[in-house]
Amino acid sequence: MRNALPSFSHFLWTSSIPESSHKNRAMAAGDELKLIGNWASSFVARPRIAFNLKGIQYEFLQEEFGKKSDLLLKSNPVHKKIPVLIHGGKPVCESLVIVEYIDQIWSSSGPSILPTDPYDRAVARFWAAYVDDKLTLQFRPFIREADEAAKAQAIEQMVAALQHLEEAFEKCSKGKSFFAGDSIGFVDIALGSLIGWLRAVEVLAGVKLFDEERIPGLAKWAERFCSSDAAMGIIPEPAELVEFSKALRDAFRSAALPSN
Amino acid sequence: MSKEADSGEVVQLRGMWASPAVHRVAWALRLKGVEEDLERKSPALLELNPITKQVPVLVHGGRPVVESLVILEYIDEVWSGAAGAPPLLPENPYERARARFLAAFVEDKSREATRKVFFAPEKERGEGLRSLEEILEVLEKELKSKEGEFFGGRSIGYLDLAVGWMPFWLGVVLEGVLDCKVMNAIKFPTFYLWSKFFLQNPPEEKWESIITLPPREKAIEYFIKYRQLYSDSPK
Repeated sequence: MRNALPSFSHFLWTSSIPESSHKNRAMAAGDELKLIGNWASSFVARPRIAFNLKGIQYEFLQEEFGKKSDLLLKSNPVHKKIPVLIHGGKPVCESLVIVEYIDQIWSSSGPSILPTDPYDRAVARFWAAYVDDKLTLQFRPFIREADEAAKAQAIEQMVAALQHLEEAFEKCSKGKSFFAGDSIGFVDIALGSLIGWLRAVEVLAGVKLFDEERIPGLAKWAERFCSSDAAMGIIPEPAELVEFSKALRDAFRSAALPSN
Repeated sequence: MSKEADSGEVVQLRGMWASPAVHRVAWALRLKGVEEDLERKSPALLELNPITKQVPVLVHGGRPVVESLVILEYIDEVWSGAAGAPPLLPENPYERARARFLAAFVEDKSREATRKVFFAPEKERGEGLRSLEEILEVLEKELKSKEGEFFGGRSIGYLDLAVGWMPFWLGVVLEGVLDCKVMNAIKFPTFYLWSKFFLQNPPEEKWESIITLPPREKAIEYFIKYRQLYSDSPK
C-alpha cells in the first residue's frame, strides 16, 4: 500500500524526531526505556520481572488509578491498557509480547526467558496462553461486585486450571526449580506474576488455592518464585491487594464505569 | 504421498474443515512448502490434546503443538529457510512485537464480537458489529502503513495468516447466514483490496494455491445449522 498517510507508529508518539529516522532503525539495547503500569497489575509485573532477570534498568511510570494518562492513550490507542513499554520512543503492548521482545533485544543479558528449541518454545507459549485464557479473567468477581455463585464458579475454574498447571509443572520442570528448569522462564513469569492476586483471592474467598496436598509442586514453586531475585519486591503482599480490591470495588460502585 | 519435513519427520494437521484456525495453519504449511502426511493413522484428537480439546493440532514427529497462533510461530521457526519462503514473522523485534500484539488483539476482540453477532439477540448484534468495525479500522490503518500489499509487507506474513480468516468467514457467517455486511469497501478500501486476495477461490496461479478455502455454500449451510443448534441451548 502506498505510503500516502504517515505510518501508524507516527500517530502514537508526538516527538520532534522526524518519522523517517525512526522507521527502519532497529531499536538498540541502549535506547530510552519506559514502562507504563502500576504496582498492582499482574500483567505489568511480567515485564518488570523480565527486566530484573536481565538486569536492565528502566523508568517506571505509574498510572494514577482510575485515570488513563495522555501518554498511555497515545501509546496504546488500540487497547488503552497497561503495561506499555516505550523503547526509544516506540510502544510495545501486551504483557507476554513485551516479555518476548525483552528476551529478544537483551538476548545477551541474563538467562534466556524462552527456550531455544522450537518445540519447547511452542510448549511454553501454549502454557502461557493457557494461563491468560483460564486464570486471568477469574479475578473479576473479586474486583467487581459479584454474587457468591459467580465467585464460587471462579474458584472452581482456578482450582481446575491450577491442577492442569501442576501436571505441566511436573513435565516441564523435570525435577528442577522452575517450569523453565534452573532459572525463571516464560511460563514461570506468566503464572508467577499472578501469585499476588491468587493469594489475595485466598484471603477474600477463604479458600486455599496453593494447597500443598493438591498441588505440591506448584505450592513450593510459588514460594521459590516469590523469594527469587527476579521477583523480589514486585509481587505485592496479599494484604495490599485485598486493600486495593476494596478500593476498586468502591470506585466502580460510585463511578459505575463500563467494564474494561 | 507423504513428503517429510526438512527435519525428517512426518507432519500432520488435524482439525475440522469449517474452523478458520485450521485453515490458518494449513496456509502456513503450504507457504513453507511443507506437505502433510495424509495416509498414516494417528491418535485421536482427544488423546493428543486432552487439555483444551481444541482444533487445530499440528502433529510433528508424533509430538502435538496446539493453539493456532502458537503453531504459526512453531512452523516459522522449524521451517525457517524452507522453499525460499520469507519468514512469517518480521525480523525486526519491534515489528515482530507489533504483529504479535495485533494478532492477539484481533483474536480476542473478534471472538466476543462474532459471538454477539452470531448468537446474541438482535439488540446485542449491533454491539458486535461495531466491535468488528473497530477491528477493521485498526487493520485498515495498519495496512496503509505497509510497503507492499500485505501485513507482512511484500509477502504474506504472520499477521496476514492470523487475520486472513476474516474475508471468507465473515463473508460466510455475516452475509450468508445473517445477511449483514461489515466489510465495507468504501470505509475500508485498503482492507478490501487485501481481502480480494484471500477470497480467490480457486486462487490465482501466481499464489500457488496457498490459500485454500471450503466451498462457500457448504460453509454457509454448516453455519446456519450450527447457529440453530447453539441458539436454542442456554449459554
